[in-house]
Amino acid sequence: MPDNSLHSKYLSGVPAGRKNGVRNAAVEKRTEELPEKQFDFSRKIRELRLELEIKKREEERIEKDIAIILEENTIDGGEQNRSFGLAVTRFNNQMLVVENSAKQLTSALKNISALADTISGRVSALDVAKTRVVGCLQLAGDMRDLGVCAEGIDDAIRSEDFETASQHIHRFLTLDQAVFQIRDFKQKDATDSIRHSYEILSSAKERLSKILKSRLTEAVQNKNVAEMQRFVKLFPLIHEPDEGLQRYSVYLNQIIDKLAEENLAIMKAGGTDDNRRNVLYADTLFIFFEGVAEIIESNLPVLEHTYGLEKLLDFMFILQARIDDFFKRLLEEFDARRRLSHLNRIVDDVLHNRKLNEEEAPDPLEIDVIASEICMMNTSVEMYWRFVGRRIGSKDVDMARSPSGDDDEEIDEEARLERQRLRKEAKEQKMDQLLNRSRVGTKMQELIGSYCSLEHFYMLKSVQKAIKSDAKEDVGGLTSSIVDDVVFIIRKSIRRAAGSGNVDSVCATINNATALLDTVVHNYLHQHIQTGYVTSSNFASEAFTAYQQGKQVKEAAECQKEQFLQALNNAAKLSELLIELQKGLIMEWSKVKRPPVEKNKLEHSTTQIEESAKKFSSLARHGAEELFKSAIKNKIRQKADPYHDIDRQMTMDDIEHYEAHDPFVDQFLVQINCLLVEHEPALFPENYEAVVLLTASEIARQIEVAIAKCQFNRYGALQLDKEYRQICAYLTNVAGWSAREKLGRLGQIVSLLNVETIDEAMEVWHHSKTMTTSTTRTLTLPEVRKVLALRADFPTIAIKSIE
Amino acid sequence: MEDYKYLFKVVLVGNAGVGKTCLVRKFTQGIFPPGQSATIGVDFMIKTVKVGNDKIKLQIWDTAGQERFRSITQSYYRSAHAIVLVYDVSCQPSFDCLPEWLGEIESYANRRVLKILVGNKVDKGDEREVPERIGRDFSDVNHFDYFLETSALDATNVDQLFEQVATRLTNDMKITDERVHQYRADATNTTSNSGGPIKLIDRAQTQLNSCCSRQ
Repeated sequence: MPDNSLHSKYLSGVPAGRKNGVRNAAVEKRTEELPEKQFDFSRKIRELRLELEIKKREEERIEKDIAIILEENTIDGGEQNRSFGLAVTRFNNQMLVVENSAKQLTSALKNISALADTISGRVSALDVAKTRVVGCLQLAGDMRDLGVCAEGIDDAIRSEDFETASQHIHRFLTLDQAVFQIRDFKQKDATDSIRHSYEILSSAKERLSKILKSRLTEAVQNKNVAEMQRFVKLFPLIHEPDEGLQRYSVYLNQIIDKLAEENLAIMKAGGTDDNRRNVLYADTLFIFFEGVAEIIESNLPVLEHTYGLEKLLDFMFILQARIDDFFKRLLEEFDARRRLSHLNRIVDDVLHNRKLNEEEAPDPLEIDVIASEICMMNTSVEMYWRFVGRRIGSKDVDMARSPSGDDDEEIDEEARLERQRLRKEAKEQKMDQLLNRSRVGTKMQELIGSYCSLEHFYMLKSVQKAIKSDAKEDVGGLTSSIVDDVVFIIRKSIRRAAGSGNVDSVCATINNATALLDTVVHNYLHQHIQTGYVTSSNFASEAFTAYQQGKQVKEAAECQKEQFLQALNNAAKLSELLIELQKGLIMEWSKVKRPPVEKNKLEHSTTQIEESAKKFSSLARHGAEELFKSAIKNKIRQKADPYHDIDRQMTMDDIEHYEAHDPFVDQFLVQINCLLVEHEPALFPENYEAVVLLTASEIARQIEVAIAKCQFNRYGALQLDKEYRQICAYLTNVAGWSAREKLGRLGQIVSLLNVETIDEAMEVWHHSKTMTTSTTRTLTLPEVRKVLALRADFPTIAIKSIE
Repeated sequence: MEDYKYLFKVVLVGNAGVGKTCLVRKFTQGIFPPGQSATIGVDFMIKTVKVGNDKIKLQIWDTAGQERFRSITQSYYRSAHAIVLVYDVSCQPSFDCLPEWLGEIESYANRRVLKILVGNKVDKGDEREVPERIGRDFSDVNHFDYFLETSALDATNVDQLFEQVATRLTNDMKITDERVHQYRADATNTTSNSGGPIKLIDRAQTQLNSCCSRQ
């Protein structure tokens, strides 16, 4: 293509040679005509000839050009063109071959697909045929079975071989319905025989059912256990399991009733063991449930195989009616003898401050006993529920799996899981119905409700009693009896509630216990701390009031002081013991297996004990502050006074002199130590530590105040540093590292003063920023300026300009 | 792990069958359990919500409404931060019992407890027996902190209810915290007054800072 366009370009750009030729001819022709016309065209002709000559040359030149260009283009371009053309042709040929092959392939595939269709058609036909054959075989088998059953049934019934008869009926009942549709077929003899068998078996079933029922009833009446167990097994085979269970449970109910009667009789007579009269009703309940569990245990295996587990739950419901009845009677007796409703009313009144008649209020000890008994009763009930759950609930997994073994349809996995879930849900609902909504369940919940009130009352009264009889422990003890008493009472109540097995009652008891701690006990201690710590400084006013009240002044003050210290120490110790109690309870309960919700409940309830402990701890801290304020704080200030008098513009000689003759610190620390030592024996370790820390802060503050009023030179700062280290060493020795933290700010000030230049001071300051812990705050820039201004030898302008 | 800022106890009370458990389940698990049977004792759930940038842990104690659990449920009032009293708008008797519940709250709960009144089951449309206005009036007269009508079935206002509880408790708590902080700061400042001008400057500085940051 490019060649062509090239050609055309040149061709069109130059007038064609031929065209010129034509013109030349025309010119010649004209020249021939000239002589005849007699015109002188010689000049014109000359001109034209000249022009012709020029054109001729031009033509030659252009033709040469064209030839060159043509040559140039054909040398390699033509060659390429040729080879390209060849390649295209080859390719074309090949494409033709491919096309042919593709066509062949298509036809081959068509062939194959047709074949495959035929094959699959045949296979599916075979499949249909196979299922039909299988169906036919099944049908034939069923029909044969039907015949056998029909033949055998009468004999079996007649010979009282009920097991065989039931098997026959079972086979008959589980036959495919298709068998019976054959009745409508045309071949008369075949359908006749089937109809015949069907009728025989239907009537036989009726007969057998009647016989079995009457036999079982009879056996129940005669209390013939072997017969009963023999017959009860047969009911599921004739598809009437409910009938069987109903009749069988009549028997078991009789046994249960008998057991109930016996137990109630013994109970009414006052039990067999006088030592256990306090827990007579709980014992009776325990023995009864043991008996029932035994009855169920010995009878369940008979039912388990033939009825399946789902039916067993229904069976338990039937039995539950009798158990409920027994429980009701037991409770009536319990209520009457232990005067539970009566006590409950009074207890509620007391708890809700409706009536404050102390006369009528029951003895906490009496309540204690009843509370224990209710807990034991709940334990028995829980034990029974666990038994039922284990006996019927634990086989859940087996039950769910057995059908999956039979089904080999893996595709239905989801549907199967769904079914399993539904079944499980239904079962859980039934269990819930049995456990929580049966009469035993609801009555027990009611009883637990009463128990919670009783326990609350018991704790309240016992704590009140402990407060009333609060007495200092043996000589040297820091705390009084109330601490141990209160913790003992609360621990006892919470553990008793835990022993009942009912988590809600534990939570309620913890709630009530912490309520008592936060109100009654807290108020008692708070009131003593509130009255304040008497020292000689505020002694005068105290003495005056005491004098007015006609007391021995000295004695009253001593007494108040002692009470204050005791309350302070009690609060600290109580806090410690409560934390211990909480940890102990968590440890104890971590071993018991419980559902996650219940674990959560317990965990979050116990944190309340911790909260109460924190409240006592902050009460103790408050007390320690009071003590510190009235007994120590002012003395520290007084003793720090001489510190102001030291001149801080020192010389080297001064320092050496002070090395030998300490101006202040030694004496100061000795005095502080005296103060602390005086209080140490009277304080619980935690309280003492609090006082020491407060002391540390106060010392730091006093020194800081003194420093702010001085002017230092380098030696004065050096001396200060030495003193600071001494104080630091002392406090660390007395109270450990936490005391040192209280001195953090002072430390910063001291090191800021101990520099040679302002630049060095800035370095120290920036360094301290990175070193400080969260408890000590770094000095702010204005503070730094202020501190540096204390150095008399630093120029004021330089200090002002620091940033 | 336990990276929450505050933990609050929320206690739900009200007659049996007004839908306390359904409200809690809808909120905590997003499901409406059909055929929910009566609660036994107390049910317990935990859910963490966000108020602003703070994580707030709500400890929800869902109590049984039936009378026989009363002495157990009563023990929960005192330590509750919020009490949600629920009635059923389609059940007049559940509304009529409110004064009784209120009496319990007054006598056992902390005086500063957040009290919230909730009329549940608003989805029941035509079966409504308690008009919204009546509920609101009751809540106003009895100084409830908040009143809301909800439906656990169609999730109306369920999240809002608990969000309100969390938000209000958080805000209250923050105010208390600030007050304590202020008190502490004041205490240290007054006791260290003798510390001289450094302290005063310092205090002015912090006040200035706090003013600036508040804007």
